[in-house]
Amino acid sequence: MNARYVPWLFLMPAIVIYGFFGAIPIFQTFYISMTDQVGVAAPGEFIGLNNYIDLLSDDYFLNSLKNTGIWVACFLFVPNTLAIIIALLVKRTFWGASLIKTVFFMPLALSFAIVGVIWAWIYEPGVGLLDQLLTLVGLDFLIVEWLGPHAGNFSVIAAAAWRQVAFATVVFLAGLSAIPQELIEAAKVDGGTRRQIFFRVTLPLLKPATTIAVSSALIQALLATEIVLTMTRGGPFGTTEVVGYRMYMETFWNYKFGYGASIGVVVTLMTATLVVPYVRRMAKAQEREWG
Amino acid sequence: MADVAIKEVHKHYGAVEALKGIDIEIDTGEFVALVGPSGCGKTTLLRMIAGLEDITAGDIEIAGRVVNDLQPKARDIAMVFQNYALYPHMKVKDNMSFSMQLAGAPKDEIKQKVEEAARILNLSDYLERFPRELSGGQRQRVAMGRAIVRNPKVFLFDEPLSNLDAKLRVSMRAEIKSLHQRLGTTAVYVTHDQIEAMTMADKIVVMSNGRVEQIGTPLELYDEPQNLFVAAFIGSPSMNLLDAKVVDGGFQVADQPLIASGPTDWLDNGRDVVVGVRPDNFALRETGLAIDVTVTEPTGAETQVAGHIAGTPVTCLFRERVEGRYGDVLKVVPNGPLHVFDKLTGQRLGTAQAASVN
Repeated sequence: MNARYVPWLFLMPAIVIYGFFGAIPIFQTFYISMTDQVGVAAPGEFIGLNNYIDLLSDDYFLNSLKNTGIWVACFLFVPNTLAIIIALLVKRTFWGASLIKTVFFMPLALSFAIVGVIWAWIYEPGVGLLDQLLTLVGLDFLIVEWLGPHAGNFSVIAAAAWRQVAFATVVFLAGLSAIPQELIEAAKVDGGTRRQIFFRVTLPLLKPATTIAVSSALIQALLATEIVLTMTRGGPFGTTEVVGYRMYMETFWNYKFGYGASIGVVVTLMTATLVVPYVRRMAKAQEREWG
Repeated sequence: MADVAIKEVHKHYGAVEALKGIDIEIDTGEFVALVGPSGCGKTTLLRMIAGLEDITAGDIEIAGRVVNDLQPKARDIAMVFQNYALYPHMKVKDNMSFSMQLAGAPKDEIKQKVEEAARILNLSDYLERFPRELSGGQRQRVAMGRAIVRNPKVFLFDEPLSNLDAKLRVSMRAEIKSLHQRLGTTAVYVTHDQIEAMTMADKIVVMSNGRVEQIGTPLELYDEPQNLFVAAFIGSPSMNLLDAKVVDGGFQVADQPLIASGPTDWLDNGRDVVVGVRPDNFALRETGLAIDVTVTEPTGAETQVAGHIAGTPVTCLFRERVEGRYGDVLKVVPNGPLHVFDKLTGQRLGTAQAASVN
């Protein structure tokens, strides 16, 4: 057999599987988003970009877009900053270090849906863990309606961040252990204070870990759906609705498959334009520094 | 005046005693090599001078100031690390000037110092590159440039050449030595390679098992090793050490013919000693100590013969061409200094002259 075709033969299983479960559904979604399909009984009619035009004036969608924006902003900074701090603290070996690490990693074993259920209990007014704790330490004036219209979106984000911190901590711990100790020592001899060493040596050298943690945070924030479903179902008054949840509602509750698909396409494009250039830029820098 | 003084320094890691009381004085401008086998504590000592390891007991002084509790940055030292420790995310010029940037030095001063160091080290064309885009030798030079830019009181080198290939190592050796002679900065250089120590250092500190075995100039260590460890460690190939008894007129090795020597009246007859003979202090004769040859290695100018005398492995270096194969027997007599050590303590007793000096 011609040597030119042999590699394709070996790649065929992967191409077939990816094609069936990846590429074809994506293209199909693009197509469906340009139809007025309702339900799954019959294909809809081609209506061009009408769904997208409707989205621009759909207050529900625009509201969810705003909430997703808040998700992205919070998710980029809060879990990753916390994770770096925790990773720096538990990096060193001390008595009980592995126990503490386990505690921090545990949320990773839970899906976002379960995280939602757990935190819905924690936020339960009056009897929930959070309210009881605050009452116990005399900070009960801080208590608000956690899943109410004002705090709701942030409370859901905080619950999801709890799990994201666990993920990012694992990533940053691995990243920290990949930094040669000699470099930190060289920076000490060069006269760096702890702060200078962190910002000018450690943090830049965490680039591979940061790339993973940041792109994961972006993707999780843009796609968040299950946790909203199990915690608030978008309420009250849509204050916790995000685009993923909107897509789910339009598609599977309102059976507007075409319209739901167009939201899906918007999410995909947002993810691609935010994540892909970032990952490429970081990969290039890493190539230059580490080879 | 001593630039660096190490006084009765100890280092413990839990129950392990890594350094057992080290005393070294290093004069201003001196190039001192700390040499010894791996695990002898030389790197630990260097890191303690740098401030990267705590001192369990004792004092380290730099320029007359006790630095035990000072951070590395307050010690006025620069260090060249074994794996260069260049910051991979910084260009060569930023690697070299990082310490000045941290100290908030003015931009034009940084630029001028970096360019000066780059000129000295032949790095001027590479300032805009990243460390990854340099060869091993160039990286090594950047690491030194980083130290030079600091203009520190003391340079510390931690086996800086161990990652280079043999040829580059020899040329970098010469470069470091000439650099030191040009800058005149006190330097402490850790190596396990005694040739590096011999060729570069003004003063060598031989260490083993957390102790200083001997301090001296390269030739002092070579000519008068104070104990069996130094005798075996300094010199390549290393000194031959033969168990012997002091007898009238010389030394008796097992049932071999007598090693005739000058007066040995400073030794009691019948005393058990170890006689050390450098490989190049042997001459071929009709009669003498019998070497059961294992292998001969001609290198052109010299021939190295490895074998056994009375079961003890020996190496001889002849300035002539010698034929010999496995199983042959050659007869040799020592014709240079005989280093005499006490068999029990391993300490030097003195030097006897072999009788057959030619």
